[in-house]
Amino acid sequence: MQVIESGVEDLNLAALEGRLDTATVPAVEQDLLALVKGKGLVLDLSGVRFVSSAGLRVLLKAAKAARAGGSGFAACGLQPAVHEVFEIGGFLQIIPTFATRGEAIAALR
Amino acid sequence: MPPALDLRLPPTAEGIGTMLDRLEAYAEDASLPPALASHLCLICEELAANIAEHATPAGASLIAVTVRPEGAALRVMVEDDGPAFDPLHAPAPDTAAPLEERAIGGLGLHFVRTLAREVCYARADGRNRLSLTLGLTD
Repeated sequence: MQVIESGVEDLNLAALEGRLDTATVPAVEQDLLALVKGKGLVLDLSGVRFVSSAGLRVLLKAAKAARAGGSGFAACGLQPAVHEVFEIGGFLQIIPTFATRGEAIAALR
Repeated sequence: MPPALDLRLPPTAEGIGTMLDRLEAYAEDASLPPALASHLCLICEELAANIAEHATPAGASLIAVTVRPEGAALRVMVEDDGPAFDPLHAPAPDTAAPLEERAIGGLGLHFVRTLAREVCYARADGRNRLSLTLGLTD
């Protein structure tokens, strides 16, 4: 996971890549949850080609933690296969998604 | 027509990572349409993750995955040697619940039911066998 300067106070920006699945989630879960402690988070998924329910589970945890802390959480850059998983899983209704980082940052600003 | 694929893997998170590497390589070699390739990976991941979570602690030592092309469709079989368990009896998740009430349980099987056809469970030769058809024409 790559953490990038968002340019906005109290807002983190991070990019994931590869697959977000049963095998890869344990390596990113703690770092991801740390980014929503007291701050909002925009998660750039444009480098992620695959998400399974194990990946959705950690995104749900992050979204719930952000909500509980009064911060925003959004994802951007979903590839078609990832968008479909969000859609079938009913995640488009609970995690705001945007085409670009700029749009997501503007929405959480 | 592309060749069949037979995989035998340990029923662990590491085994699932290897399975996905092999499935992605197979999909590329077989020039599968991108949506079919991602459905194949997703369904095998979800079934294997269920096995790793529930059957491995109960003694399963193996996940076997076979993929056989049939025309434009794929026949997929996922087996494990754990105790008899039919995952198709799991309750459906509530995919419309608000964020605070959202749970993740059952979502994997929801993907399987949504994306696959002719999903069947059988217990045979001491194995749980889930077979299904994937295709883009339905």
